[in-house]
Amino acid sequence: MPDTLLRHIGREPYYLSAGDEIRLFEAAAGARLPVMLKGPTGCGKTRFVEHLAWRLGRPLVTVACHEDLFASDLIGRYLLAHDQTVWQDGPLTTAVRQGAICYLDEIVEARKDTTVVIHPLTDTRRLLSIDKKGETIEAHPDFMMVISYNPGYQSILKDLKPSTRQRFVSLAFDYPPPDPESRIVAHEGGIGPEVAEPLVALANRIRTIREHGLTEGASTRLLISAAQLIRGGIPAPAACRAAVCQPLTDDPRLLATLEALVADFF
Amino acid sequence: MPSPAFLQPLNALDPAMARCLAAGTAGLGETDGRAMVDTILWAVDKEIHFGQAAAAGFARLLDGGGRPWLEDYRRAVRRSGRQGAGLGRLVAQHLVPVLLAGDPALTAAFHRCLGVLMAKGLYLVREPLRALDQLLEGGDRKGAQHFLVLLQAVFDRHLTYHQLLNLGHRIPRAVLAMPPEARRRRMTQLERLAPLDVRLLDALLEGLDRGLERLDAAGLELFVTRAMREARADPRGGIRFLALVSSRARHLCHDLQVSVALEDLRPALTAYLRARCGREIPIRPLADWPPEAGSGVPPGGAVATDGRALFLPAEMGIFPSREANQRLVEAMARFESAVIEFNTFAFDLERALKMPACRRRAGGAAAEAAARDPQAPLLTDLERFWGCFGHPALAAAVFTAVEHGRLRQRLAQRYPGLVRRHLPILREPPPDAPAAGVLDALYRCLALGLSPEASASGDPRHLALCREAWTRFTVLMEAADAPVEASAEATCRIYDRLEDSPAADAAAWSPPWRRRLRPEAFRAAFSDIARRAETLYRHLQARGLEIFRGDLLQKLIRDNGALSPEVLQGLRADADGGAGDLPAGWDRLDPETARLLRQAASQPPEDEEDVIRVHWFREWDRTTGDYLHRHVRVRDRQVPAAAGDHYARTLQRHAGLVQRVRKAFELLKPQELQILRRWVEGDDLDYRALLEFALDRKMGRWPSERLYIKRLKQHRDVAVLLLVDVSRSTANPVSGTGSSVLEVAKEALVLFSQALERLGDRYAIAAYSGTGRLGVDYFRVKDFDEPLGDTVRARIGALQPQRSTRMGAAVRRATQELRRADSRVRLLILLGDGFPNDLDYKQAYAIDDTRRALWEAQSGNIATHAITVNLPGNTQLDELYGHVHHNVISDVSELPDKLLRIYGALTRG
Repeated sequence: MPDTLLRHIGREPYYLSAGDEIRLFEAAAGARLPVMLKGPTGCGKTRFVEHLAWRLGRPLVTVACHEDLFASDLIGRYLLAHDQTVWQDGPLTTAVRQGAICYLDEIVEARKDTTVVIHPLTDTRRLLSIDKKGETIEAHPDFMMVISYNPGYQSILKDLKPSTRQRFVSLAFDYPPPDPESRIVAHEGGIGPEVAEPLVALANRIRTIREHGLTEGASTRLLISAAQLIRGGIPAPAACRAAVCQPLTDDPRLLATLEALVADFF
Repeated sequence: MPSPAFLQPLNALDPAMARCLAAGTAGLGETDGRAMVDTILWAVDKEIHFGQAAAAGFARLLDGGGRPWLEDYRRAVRRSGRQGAGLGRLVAQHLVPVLLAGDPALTAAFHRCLGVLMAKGLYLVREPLRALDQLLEGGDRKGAQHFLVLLQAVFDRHLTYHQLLNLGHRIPRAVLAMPPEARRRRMTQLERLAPLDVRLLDALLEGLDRGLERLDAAGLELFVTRAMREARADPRGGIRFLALVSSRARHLCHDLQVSVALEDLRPALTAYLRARCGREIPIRPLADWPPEAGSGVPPGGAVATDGRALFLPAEMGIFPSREANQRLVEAMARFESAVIEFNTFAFDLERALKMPACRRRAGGAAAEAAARDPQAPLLTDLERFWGCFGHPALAAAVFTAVEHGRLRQRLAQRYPGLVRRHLPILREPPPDAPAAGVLDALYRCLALGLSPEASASGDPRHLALCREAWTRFTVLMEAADAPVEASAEATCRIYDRLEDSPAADAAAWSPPWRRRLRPEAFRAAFSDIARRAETLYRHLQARGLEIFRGDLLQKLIRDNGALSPEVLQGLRADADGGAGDLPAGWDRLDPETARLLRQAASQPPEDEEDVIRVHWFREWDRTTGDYLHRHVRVRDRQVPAAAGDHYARTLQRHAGLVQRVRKAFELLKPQELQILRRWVEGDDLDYRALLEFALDRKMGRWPSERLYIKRLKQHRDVAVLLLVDVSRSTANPVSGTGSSVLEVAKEALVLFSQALERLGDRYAIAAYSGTGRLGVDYFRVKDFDEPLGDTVRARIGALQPQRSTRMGAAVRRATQELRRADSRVRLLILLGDGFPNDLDYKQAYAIDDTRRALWEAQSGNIATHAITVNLPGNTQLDELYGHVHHNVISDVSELPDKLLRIYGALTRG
């Protein structure tokens, strides 16, 4: 695996704590416990991991899981170099060897065989077995496994099996309360609070109409995108339509309602 | 007074008849009197009822000031009587109001119309004349005349007997049912259609019921002109056009509409208000205003809320364009809902009394009110507050102006776009705006935010008051989150300046668009919760636990009457954000308080033996615009076992189709394992690429790095649940097949299961029916993990028509099952023969709940598709399922084939 995927985070990633999640994560890291982050799309799970990696001074390996992700994609493979086959560590093996935080984003999207690899790493053994090489590595003391998933988006059975779930300390995330969320949107979007606050208020209104046909509420990430468009000179209503309303639904009736709400705020 | 001599012969015949005439005959000349009596006697001689009608007619005419038309009446009665006593009697009865209207043109029209109707037969005359009477009684003289002209135009042509009967019955009824202001323009259009084809009249009356009624005069004329053009080209097409059956007609009608129907705006407004207020706010027509909520919601342009729902006009047509009318309704909904969003009805008198002017004004009176009999009807704190003033109506008026001002400010802070766009609409005076009084000036200044100068309309006294009120208002509303109690404080400070105004003015006064605050309606809407809040409040007070009554009530309302001890603790009057330890008494609530917090649970009925499991689901109540929690009880049941070889027989009967289906579904099936070559990384080296790599290197060429293969296991990751309606109506026969709807559906299930077995998709089959909300049955025919064995085959064969169709609950139960399915694509297919229908679950209520249940499924990433059989296309199906999410199969015998085609198209990769 190219070293560039192992990130040493030099500058503090902006993260605004909404509770005691930092303390809990640090305690889990101290106790070498794996952590599971649950929460809706775009509520700040990835940013939280980056922030904690910086805080703990550990490198970070992030893997966005998808349905074609094999165990071998995590562990590593042989490559050809100079007429020879050379073993290349995968992201997980790199993290295990170098004491990094390995963040498997949306773990339930990955193929089932990946969980087989995760199990011995997430209990007291902390071992990674590389079948192709016949090697078993003991995890670096600083290695930490972090996984995330969005419970609302997945079906119950696609959910993690209890045998996997029960290895992790779980931290539940949700969209931040209005004040912190406004500060986040203002900071990340590079806009003033006078624009960030109505954006967040708009999102909170939209989040209440999930049962009217929306699959997901408006995420903080969408608000930041809208804020960035506004900073780039796009009028707020147009920015909200493009970055908030349209990504949420294709239903014309629901779009009309969302746009009416946008018009109220701007 | 002695009766005139000319009445003597009548007196000898029937003293009562003579007495009835005597009062009106004073001063009547001997000749006229004698002619009148002769006519009555002649009529009696013809037929006693004719005579009585003539006597009553003369009497009405004399009493109603119709002496100048006495001779006309006498001649008409004679003339018609000569044609028969029946006609004579009708004329004697119905000519009187025509003559009393005093319009010779109307009288002439009456006689012409009568001539035309009589040419067809006496049977045709009675109903139109009765309708004419009612029109004249209602004061619609022009309408009555137009009605006669219309009748003449319609019936003065050759018509079949059935057409005569139908139109003779239908036109009078339809004309009477028309709103007076629209009657003449609609009759004009009916009159235009008559010469072309009388069938078009029926069609127009249907079209009016379906939406043409919302067109103004010009719009209706244009529409009818288009329809006449259609009818000339194709008579049947013209009828469909006028009856608003064709899509083109519906679109044209929509484009021509000036007024907007609340029903059209309701879905968007409901979602909007849900977002704004954080809970469901039902939108209801003003006609639904509950009588117990107090009167005072006059029709036309009004908007009102009782804190639970928003009431708007069923139709808005004040402005000449549809856009303007729609904007007005939207503006009303947006501003009126601020009453709910910013808690106007959470007004707490105790909290208000902490403010100086309120304490001075209302302190003593409020204390007295608080000590009143606990059994007395509960008044809201707002009503109590207004009651503390010498003129409560004036206090209410001032408070309304101030509170609407506060709401305007809160809206402007939170939704600047809303106020910018919609406040100008409300600032426009309504067409029936009252004269500019001092309260109007105050309202314009505070509530609508106009400058004191603009508000006062040039009256110096009004200007002085507005300036002073504005200053006081702005000081008190300085805080961004000024509560409703700040409006009470401002009211106290402004009221004194107005107290010398006569209170009667305030009692009659109404804000523009009648946006009055209606605490009495709030009281009626939440009486149960208010009573519980009061009990709990008194209980807590007795224990020295301080809490504001308004806060308690709002929490109870928000959580549907439920309140946890933790939430209650957060409401304590000295709470400062929940920091620190709870004060004494709050840390542990006594058992009585805990009991008061508990809610009673409903008891389910006994279950039958074959019930496997019971589930409770919520149901959407469109009348309250909220969910009814744990409202519907769904029982998972086993399909009663039945012997027989239905499954095998079906396969045999459709052997050709089965073979075709298997082949078609085989093609949908993906390859088991797909090998992707030339990847830069992968599971294994690709030896062909490796060879090329070596050769390239030998030849000194730059070799490709794409040396790997990837093996991807391809599979269709689809789970589908087929939910079949087995209600009573599925026993109906399908024409031409000799089978019932359910029999055909069962055949479709057989083929469906065969196809999916071949395809490898995971599938489940369930059926549903039931009676009432506590008895919905969910029959599990095949679960996802169950093989298609003999048991499942027997269950399909054993399905029988059951009872009703509570579709929302069945969809929720099926959704629950699908959520558990471990598949990337999850699909719910509904197979039914009509609309949902059950006890207390009909029409709009049932459709709304079912649609809501489908939305819930879609929110959980479950695709839904409905197939309706044995029903002609219906636009309500679009409304129910969404136009891309359903198919209608009119010929149910095509179901087995079509179901598979639809499924194939839905899941094709």
